[in-house]
Amino acid sequence: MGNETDGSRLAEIWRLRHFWLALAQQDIKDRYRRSVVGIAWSLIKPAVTTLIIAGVFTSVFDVAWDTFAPFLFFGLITWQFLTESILQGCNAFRQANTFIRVRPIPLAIFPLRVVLSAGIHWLIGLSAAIATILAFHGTANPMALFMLFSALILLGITAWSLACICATLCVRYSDTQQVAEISLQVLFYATPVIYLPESLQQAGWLHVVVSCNPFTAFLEMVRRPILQGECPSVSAMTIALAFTAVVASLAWTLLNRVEKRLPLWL
Amino acid sequence: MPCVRLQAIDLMFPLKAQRRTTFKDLIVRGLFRAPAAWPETVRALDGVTLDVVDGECVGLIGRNGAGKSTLLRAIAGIYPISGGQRQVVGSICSLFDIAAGFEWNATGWENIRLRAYLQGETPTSLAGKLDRIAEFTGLGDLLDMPLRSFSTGRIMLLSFAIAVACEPEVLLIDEFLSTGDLQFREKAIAEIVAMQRRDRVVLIAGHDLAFLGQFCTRMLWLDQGRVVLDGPTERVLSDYRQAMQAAKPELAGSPLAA
Repeated sequence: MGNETDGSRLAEIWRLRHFWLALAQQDIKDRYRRSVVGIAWSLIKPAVTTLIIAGVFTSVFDVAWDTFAPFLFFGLITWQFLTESILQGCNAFRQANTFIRVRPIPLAIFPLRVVLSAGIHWLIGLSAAIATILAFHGTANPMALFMLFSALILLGITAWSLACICATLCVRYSDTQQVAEISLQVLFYATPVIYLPESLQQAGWLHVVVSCNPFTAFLEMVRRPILQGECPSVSAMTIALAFTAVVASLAWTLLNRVEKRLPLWL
Repeated sequence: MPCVRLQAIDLMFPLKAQRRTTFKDLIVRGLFRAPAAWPETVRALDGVTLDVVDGECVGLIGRNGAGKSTLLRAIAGIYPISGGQRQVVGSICSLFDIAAGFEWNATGWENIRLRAYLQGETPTSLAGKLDRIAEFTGLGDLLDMPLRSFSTGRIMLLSFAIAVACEPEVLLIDEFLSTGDLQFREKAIAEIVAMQRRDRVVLIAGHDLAFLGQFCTRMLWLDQGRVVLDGPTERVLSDYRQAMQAAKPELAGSPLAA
């Protein structure tokens, strides 16, 4: 497997698509087995969180309910997707031990499984929210929707790459998951998920941190096309694209180096 | 033509990785440079040479820890070899451990699909084989039940049926058929013999010498990662039995025997 060129590994991942699609489907089924509302939970949870936070923020701070609640909802579901991909990604290889010992297959398949099942919930939330907004505000800007689509692809690749990196590290260093949890918590406050980025303009260094944070760019790329009907700023697109390229090549290099030996470590 | 060619392969198994390193270990070792009290690796295979051509069924025998499973995994390409050359021509299918490649909460049918897709089957290529798999297992409506309600023997039956249906050119079996009932063993032998006739390659590791002797055309006796003897079934089996008999007094003195 290690002698393969990059292209043939991607081809192998594509050839095995029925396998990882079936795995992701199984994950969704497993999660809502014996549940009454089933997959609707993926809407109920962020909706309730949105109501609570928006309820508090609109009464304490000077923000308008009708702009803040959708802003919050998009932020929360996108953050949820990222967290789930990374934290469950940490266990992707250990959990896949049973498949890895059957035949040599590209390991990136297993973090992909995790990202896909997290992605389904994200997409359900997004579609429901977009449908609601369109119902109130009428037609959408097609160019902006196209930008939204590319944002989803970029964030998907980023999540997949980060999950691959965490899964690999976690096989060697079992503390990876704890480190990832703490880092995500720090990152959560350094990213405008539950606050408006404009509210930080007076905040000095924090403002600098938040505007350099690539996840701020990703959130802008998801929110702006829907909430304002505009294309995201060029700077946000550049940051998001560059960050995706960096983590994707990191993950690729790491897997290239360890993929062959990794089954011996499990 | 399917074949397995191993030229003096070595396999070093890392022990460090088995004992998970924590960040604390890294820092402490980095600061104080404590001498490693743990060997870095163990030599699991030591210069194994093997040439299996189509139509052969090779039995791998040897005591526990002799390297039978490691050799099979190296042939399958799951474990990387550290030295020598490995060449396998033909599609490989493995039956290594009973639970491998299954999801416990999924039904029998879902698991058939999952395992077959893992082997590279597609929904179209699998469609014609589903009935054959179900028939081989004889499980009927039980296939609608989740796998965790299956007995070990039935799970084994299921994985064997899927493996055979995927029509591999090289079939690798590890210590797998030993828990099957008589009827299943007969079915399995019939399938393996049929594969030999179709010029496929089968390698099977096990401890049940009488069972292996029924269909293996050749035997490979391993000890401590090295080949002790490779030859016709009858000869290797009788030498192996003699060696095990000779080793008996040594076992009788074990602390557990008292």
